[in-house]
Amino acid sequence: MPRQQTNLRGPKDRGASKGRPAPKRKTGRAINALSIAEKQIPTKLGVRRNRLGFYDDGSERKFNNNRDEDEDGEDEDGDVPNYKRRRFNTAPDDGSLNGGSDSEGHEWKLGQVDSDDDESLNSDEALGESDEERFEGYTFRGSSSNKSKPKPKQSTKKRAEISLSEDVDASESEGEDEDEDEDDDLGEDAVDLLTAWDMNTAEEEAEAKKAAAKSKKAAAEDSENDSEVDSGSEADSEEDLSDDTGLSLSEDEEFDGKNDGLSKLQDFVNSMETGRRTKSTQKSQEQSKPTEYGLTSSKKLTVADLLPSITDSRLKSSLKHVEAIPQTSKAGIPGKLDAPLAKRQQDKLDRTAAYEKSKETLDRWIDTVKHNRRAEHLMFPLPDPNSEQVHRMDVAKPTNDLESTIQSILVESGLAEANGKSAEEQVQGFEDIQARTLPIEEIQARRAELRKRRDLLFREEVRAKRIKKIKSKSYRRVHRKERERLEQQEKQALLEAGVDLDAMDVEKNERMRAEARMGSKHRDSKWAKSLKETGRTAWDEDARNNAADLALREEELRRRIEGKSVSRGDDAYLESSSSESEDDDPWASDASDVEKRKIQKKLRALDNDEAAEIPKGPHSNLFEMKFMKNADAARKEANDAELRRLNRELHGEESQSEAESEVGRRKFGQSEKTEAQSQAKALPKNEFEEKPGSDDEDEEVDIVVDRPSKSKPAASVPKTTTKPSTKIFSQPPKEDIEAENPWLVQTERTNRRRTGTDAQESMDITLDDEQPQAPQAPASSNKSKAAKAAPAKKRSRDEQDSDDEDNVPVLLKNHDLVARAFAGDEVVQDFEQEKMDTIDDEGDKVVDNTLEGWGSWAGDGVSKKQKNKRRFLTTEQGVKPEKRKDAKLSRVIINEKRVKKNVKYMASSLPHQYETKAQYERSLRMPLGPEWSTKETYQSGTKPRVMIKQGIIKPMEKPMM
Amino acid sequence: MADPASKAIVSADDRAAKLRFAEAERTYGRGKAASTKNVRDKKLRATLKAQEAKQKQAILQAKDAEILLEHEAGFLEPEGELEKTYKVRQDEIQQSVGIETAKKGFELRLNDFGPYRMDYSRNGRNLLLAGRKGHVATMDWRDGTLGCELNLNETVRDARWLHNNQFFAVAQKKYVYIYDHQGVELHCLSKHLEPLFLEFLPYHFLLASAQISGYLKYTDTSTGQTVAELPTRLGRPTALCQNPSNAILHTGHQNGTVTLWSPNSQTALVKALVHRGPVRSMAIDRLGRYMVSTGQDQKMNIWDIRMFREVHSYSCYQPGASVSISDRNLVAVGWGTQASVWRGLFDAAQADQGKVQSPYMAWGGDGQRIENLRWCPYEDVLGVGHDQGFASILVPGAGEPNFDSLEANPYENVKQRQEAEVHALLTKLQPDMISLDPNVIGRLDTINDKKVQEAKNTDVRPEDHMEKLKNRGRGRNSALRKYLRKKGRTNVIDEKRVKAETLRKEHAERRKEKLKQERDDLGPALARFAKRD
Repeated sequence: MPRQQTNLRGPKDRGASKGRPAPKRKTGRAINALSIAEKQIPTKLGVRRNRLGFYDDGSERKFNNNRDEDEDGEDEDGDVPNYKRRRFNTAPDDGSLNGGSDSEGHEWKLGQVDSDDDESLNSDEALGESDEERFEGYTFRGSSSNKSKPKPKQSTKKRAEISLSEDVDASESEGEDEDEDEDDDLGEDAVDLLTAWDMNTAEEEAEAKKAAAKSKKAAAEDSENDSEVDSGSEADSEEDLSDDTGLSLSEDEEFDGKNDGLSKLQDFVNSMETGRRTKSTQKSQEQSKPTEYGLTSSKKLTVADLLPSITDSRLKSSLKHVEAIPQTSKAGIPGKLDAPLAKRQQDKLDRTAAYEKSKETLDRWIDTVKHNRRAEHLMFPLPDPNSEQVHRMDVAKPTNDLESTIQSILVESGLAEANGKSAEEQVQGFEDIQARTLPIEEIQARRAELRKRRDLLFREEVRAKRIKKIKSKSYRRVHRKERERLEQQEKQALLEAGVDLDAMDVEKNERMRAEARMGSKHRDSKWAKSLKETGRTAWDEDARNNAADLALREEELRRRIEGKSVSRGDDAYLESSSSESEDDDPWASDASDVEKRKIQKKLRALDNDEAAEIPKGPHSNLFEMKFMKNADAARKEANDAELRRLNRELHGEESQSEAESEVGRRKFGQSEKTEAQSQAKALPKNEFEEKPGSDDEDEEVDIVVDRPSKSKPAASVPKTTTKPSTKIFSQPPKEDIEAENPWLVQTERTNRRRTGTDAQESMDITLDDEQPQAPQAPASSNKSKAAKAAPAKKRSRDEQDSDDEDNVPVLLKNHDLVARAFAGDEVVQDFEQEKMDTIDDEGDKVVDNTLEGWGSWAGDGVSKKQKNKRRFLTTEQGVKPEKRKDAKLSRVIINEKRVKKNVKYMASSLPHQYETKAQYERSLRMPLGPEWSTKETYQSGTKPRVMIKQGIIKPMEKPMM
Repeated sequence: MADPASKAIVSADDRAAKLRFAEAERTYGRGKAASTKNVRDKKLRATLKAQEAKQKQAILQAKDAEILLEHEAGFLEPEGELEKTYKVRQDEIQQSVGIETAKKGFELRLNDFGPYRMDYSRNGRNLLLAGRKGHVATMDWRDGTLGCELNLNETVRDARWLHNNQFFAVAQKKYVYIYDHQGVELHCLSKHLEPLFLEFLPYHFLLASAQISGYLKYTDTSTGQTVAELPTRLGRPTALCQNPSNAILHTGHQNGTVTLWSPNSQTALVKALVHRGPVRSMAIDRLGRYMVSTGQDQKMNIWDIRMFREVHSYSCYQPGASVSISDRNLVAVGWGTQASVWRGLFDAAQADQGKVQSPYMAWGGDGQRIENLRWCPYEDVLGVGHDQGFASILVPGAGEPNFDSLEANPYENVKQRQEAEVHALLTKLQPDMISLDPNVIGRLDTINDKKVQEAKNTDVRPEDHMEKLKNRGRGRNSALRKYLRKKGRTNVIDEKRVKAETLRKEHAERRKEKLKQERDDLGPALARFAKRD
């Protein structure tokens, strides 16, 4: 492009240099005058043209058609005459496209608008027609430049113009071929040649000629017509928008100039001149005034244009950047600027751009802000991100006297080196320095060596270990063999000497056995028997010790045997727990062991029995009915509970407490039989149980008395089973046992439900009913009396279970007991009653809101039904009996009323942020106070979220993250 | 090869940390963590997670702080099966312990003013003795220095220290009196008529007394106001004790019931039938889990008062006159002339085992009828008040070895005591906060909507119609006039109507006045132009 520019400038300047600028100017003026005249004459027409461009075009098309039939089918046809006219008259304007645009130029643009382009649309938008007319040149420059701006379009337009120019040429030359397109191309080449020639390098010229020779048509053209070439060049020059001014006028001259070398030279010289000159020449043709710097109003005056005039070096340097920018823009956009957008649009764009920019800058803060927002604690002023913590790498040096003295002491004592480093560090440092001096190969080699040695060492170690192992085995084997051999030899020697080895052994064994016997190792030894018989243990300390030892041994033996048996049989009745309990007390449990085992066995058997037992017989249907089943189940549950309790007691080595002893004391009339039976068993435990302070003899005796009840909990089990008990003899005492401590029974967790209270109630009730009878009945194991009592009790409470029936004698005893304790007291009953009342009180209530006589008839003859017709009853919801907190607690009444005073300390609604009650209450779970947590926890829990130090707090300078 | 090894190490570390946490949680844990899995809200999730992390940290720190508990608790342990700890006598113990410890066991012979009740101050430093016949004395029992000694010359039924050793309350024949440490009578609480028992709730500054009439009265000792007067309606109470964990008072009654009271409810919160005869004494452990009560029916019952279930029942040879539970859950029972100390009653109850077979220690049998028993806080000492004076006996393992000086400091000086007093007053709890479940504070109130509405309605003050009438407009169609026109013609004359009419009269009066004034202003000639309203 630049080359072309220079080329094209050439002729124009040439013309100028030939001293013919004046006519040019004249022509320019003439053209202008013409255009002005044109404008002035048909003012209406101009308007009309603008509005009704098609008509005008049509009229001119005719003219055009007359001239030239071979028009393109394009819409631009209409423009042609104008264009052409411009060509010849104001050709430079059109060619440059920024030449002073006349009304014609304007028309031409209009045509374009009509045709297709949005470029002209822009201009239209920008200016109204009248405006255009008013500010002729100035206004249109922008639009024309606009037109030229978009390159792709330019290219299309180029072609069009080229074609136009051809037309022009054709019209001029009269009779052009159809090959003109090709010619154009060639023409271009020719122009290249021309320029090459102009560039005054002979070689280039030669080359160009070669190229021309290659292209035959170019050569032909050359020979044919120079003017054509010129026109071709013109056509090309249209691209560059440079000057092909007044070609028609200067044609001949050019022709002349072409021929002589001088003119060529001048051309070249001219071409060397700056483009400004050429521009000024252009502008001179227009109406605009050339400025001092050769700029016309056709081009915007920029700062850069002013730069050359600046002499002040400082100012120049400060404006350097200004210089730089426009140049680039010049390179990008050749000489033309866009029309500024509408202010609103521009502002909008600016705003978006500004927003983007500011957003980008703000986005840098997002992380920091987020971080700070999420931070648990913030301390202002915030830590400065710039200040890096400097870790001291070197050794601390003593700064004051004290430190230096300490340091010196340390050095003296060898704990530190003078320079603060330990000896090892120094060595390390030295090595490092040395290593630095060595070549790297050396170091690598050394390292490899070291590694190799280490590997070897390790391998050796492993091997040594293995060898050791092997060796120890073989060594021992060898040695054992050696020993054996030695022994053998010895024996042999002895045999040879005549000593009997076996005899020696026998003797030894005998001695040992005797020793054992003497040492009370044998229970059945005579010595032991004698001990028993003589009762020597009573006074002989030694003998007693020995007896104890014997017992211990026996125990050990027994345990061993047991252990075997346990491991042997799965069907064994013993449970692991039993052995445990034995372990617990090797002494005390001796006697009770057997007992316990028996009990457990029985319990087992019982379990099995229950599993197997299904009532059958005539009443089997009855048994299958639901309520029977329920009752059964309840009974079974109770029994199970009892079993469990017994088991627990057995396992826990729990037997009795004073509680039972107390109970025992109360039933003075206890059968002596049981006492006698139990005494032996109870004795060992008695000692165990004894209360420390109980020095009273009475109480001691009592304890003895009540033993049976404790020691026989297992015996009571059969009674609890559903089947009618056949063990007549065993039954009464068992019942006693259970009945003796009704409160204790109740306290057992499993029994704490209904059955327990039933028993209690029954007690009380019987107390009321049978007061006369009860005291009469001595609470002994007498069966007949029990039988008597039973029906009485049944009368009093029919709903009682069979359990209670069985309990009859017990009840009598309880009765007695209770009667003695609280004569005339009906505590339980009262309590039950109170509970019922409370349940009623707090339960649902029906409120009668009926107003007497409201909405009903009064007087005689009103039936009761009518009276009661309208009742307003509302039910106030209360706490349902089964939903009460104490529904399952027979001896407790829990108030279900709401404590209003507490309500004000409760959260009335779920606090913000929490989604569920659990989350919220969990957040309250951790106490904050110093009483319940460590100081650290307390402080971290109460640390304020934002802490501000005194002083000025500067805003953050830059994002921290 | 290296990776698995390192992984293994890490996992081992993890496991150790987990173990450590699990162990810490067993003692210091506060319930299950809230799951954050299905929390949608990111912020909430983050908060919850932070919370949990904090909790965990707190637990671990608490566990780590155990290192600061320098003293260990220990009991008398028998060496063999045949050795029984309850056979160890006081003189044996005194011989085998250090001199300073041995000095803690002593006896005071006070034969004249018969059975003594006693109380230790909260830090266990001071002792208050109150003889039935009017002898009241305070002393620093370790030094043996007497604080003050009073002879009131009337029946003294109970005496209690208040929040520190500066004040004490004495339940005398007719009223409750408050004295200071010098024995100067400060207050006479005349509302506490014929008090039988006294209790002091240290965190609420409430002094409660059970009266012969069956009333339970609360007085705030910091403000002097009566907080609540609750009728038990069960006659003369036989015992009174407080639950230290929730400040609920338990009252024992003649019919064997125990009732639970808070000053916020006129009816008993819970009523339980504990004994067959009159309840003699009750005590509740420090954590508020178990209640031990003795009754005239010669029982000692252990109740789980979280579930209100009886756990175990022991029998006594005589009705237990007094029960007390030490900080480390030793239970002392005084029955007749003897006192026995039980160990591990609650552990047994917790493990659902059988009953404890034999007591841990025993004392007495010397013909001194025991009136009152109390454990000295932070000491292995049991104070026994009996009819011939007072005995301080050593019971190894009874007291909490590590005291918390924020809570109660046995070695506090005057300044510390004063500081603590101020702190206690600042952190005083309101009587309204007392509830059976102390965690109720801050809980979400889950009551149905209807009840909420009802509650709201009671709060809203009914709007005053008169105010409305007063201020709405004047002239012909004012609100008042309209009201009187619409409602004033009926025969129903209620307060509102009367008010409205007086109001109207007032208005009319005022208008007349105004008119008159205007006329005067205008003068006689122009008076006729005065504007009528």
